Amino acid sequence: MKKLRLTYFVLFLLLFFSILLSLGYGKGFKELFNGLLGNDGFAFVLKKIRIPRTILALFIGGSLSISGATLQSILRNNLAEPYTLGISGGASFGITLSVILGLNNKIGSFANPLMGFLGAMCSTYIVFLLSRRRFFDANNMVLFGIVISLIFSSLVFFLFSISDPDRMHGVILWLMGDLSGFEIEQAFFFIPVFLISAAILFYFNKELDVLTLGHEKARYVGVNPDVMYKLFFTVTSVLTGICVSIAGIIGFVGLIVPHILKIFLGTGSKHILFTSYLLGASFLTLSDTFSRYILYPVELPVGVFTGISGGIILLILLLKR
Amino acid sequence: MIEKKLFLLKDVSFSYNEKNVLKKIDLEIDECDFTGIIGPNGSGKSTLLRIISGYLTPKKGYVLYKGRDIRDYFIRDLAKEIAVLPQSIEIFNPYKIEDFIGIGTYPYMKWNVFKKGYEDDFIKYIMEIMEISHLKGRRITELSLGEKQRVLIAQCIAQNPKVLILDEPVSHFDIKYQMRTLEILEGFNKDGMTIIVVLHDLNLASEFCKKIVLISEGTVYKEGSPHDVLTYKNIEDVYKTVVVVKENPISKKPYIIPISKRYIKTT
Repeated sequence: MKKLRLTYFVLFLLLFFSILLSLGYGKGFKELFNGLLGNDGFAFVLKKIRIPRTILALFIGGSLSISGATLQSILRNNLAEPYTLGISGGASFGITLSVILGLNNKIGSFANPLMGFLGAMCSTYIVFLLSRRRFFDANNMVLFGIVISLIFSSLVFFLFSISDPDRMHGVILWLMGDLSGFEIEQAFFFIPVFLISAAILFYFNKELDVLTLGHEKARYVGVNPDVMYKLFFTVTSVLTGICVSIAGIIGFVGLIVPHILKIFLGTGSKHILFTSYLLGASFLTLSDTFSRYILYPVELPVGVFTGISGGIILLILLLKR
Repeated sequence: MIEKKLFLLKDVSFSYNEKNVLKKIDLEIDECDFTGIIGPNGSGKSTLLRIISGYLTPKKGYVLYKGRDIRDYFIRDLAKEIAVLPQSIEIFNPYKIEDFIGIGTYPYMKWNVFKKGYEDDFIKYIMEIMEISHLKGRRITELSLGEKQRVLIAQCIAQNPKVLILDEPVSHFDIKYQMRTLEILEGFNKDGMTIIVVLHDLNLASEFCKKIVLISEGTVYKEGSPHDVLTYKNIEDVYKTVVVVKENPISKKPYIIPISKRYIKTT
């Protein structure tokens, strides 16, 4: 139990530190404090850019991590995460389509996220339907996910090749994962979705533990696996669909964060979910800060940064086994 | 007297993809029975267990548990009555074994996110009975097969069941583990738990089961006490193997010795 408390303490500290760094990078404490209260130039930067961006990084990092933790548990496969299950492919296709058709100008600024979201839901639903016939056999499902993902990415390249390259720059940036295009006004819509979905996952943590035993055994322990699978798939795909549609493809967060915590803690899903949220939020916030300033003034897309750093961490973990 | 019977299977048939696995099975299991189900590979033993435990619905016929159709129970309520250990469970998350056994208390858990849901003392007690206290703090994924099986049975016991159904619980273990595990099960049985177990080893079945059900090609070939069922004629008929049945000098139960073909020609 001591270990658990210490872990929580360290994670909260890390979270606090990463928020501070993300908000106040390149400034002193005093300036940050003044900026938060005052009305000078930096206060404007904070309010318009840094605060929304930090909030977004926290929510997306946390959400991707708990989605990953949930999917890994129900599919009983360490490779399961939102993106290996084909969600990203569908979302990319939706957004690319939206940009090419110019839906932004026709129906408003929420067209891109909306289309991305629909694409994500559509691809998960296809994977879900394909897997249902075989009791959600994990290996099958990950394979289906990868295949669906590849088909959708090829469709995206098809759309690229037939359309005007200038228009595609924004899409390419988005595809690489980018937290910069977020406005605080949108937060009022997105934050409740993040919170409610996360609350549902936390609420059903015991069922999640039971589902790690597999379809048949879960039923013997008292959970109706078919109902719970549907619930978990719906919630995780809504959650990641939203993440992808605002921030693009941010790989590896949902894969490594729960992976590390499971090996380290070895507890039930409840603590894995909570700690994943904390660590994921810190990880993405830190990654975002680094990717903003590592090549200053050029800003790297955060997906590039998490992809490289996360990939290396995962490789080390796999080799150490 | 239907109420007296714990399980009552009536005219149960089941098929996977048009292939008949079980045909017209009638079976009764009483409270506090220690029932062994034996039969050749592919004769439908596992399917029968899945039907008894309510995981599969028979295509024809019905299964009554305490006089009520087993599919009418809530899944969560049934989990308080019947615990099942399927043949192979792949464990994927590296749980600490206390937490892993704790999952078995799920049917009794309250809807409270912040509460642990089970008492540490209860888990400790179960670990003592199953003789796995020394494994405390280890991860389930790093245990040996025999230890893992004990932990899995402990998880079933955490459900505090009245009936324990096990599918080949001791098939891959050395004789020490086989004997100890079955002795522990026998202890549960003496305390009033009904046990239904699929066993491959006929001698173990003979030694521990009060009642034996011999399955052949999806039907009940013979059921009764070990002495009635485990005769050389029944076994040769069902398994198509020549055997000699002796008496175990200590327990006086039937003891089956398979005879290799090369000796049959000469005699």
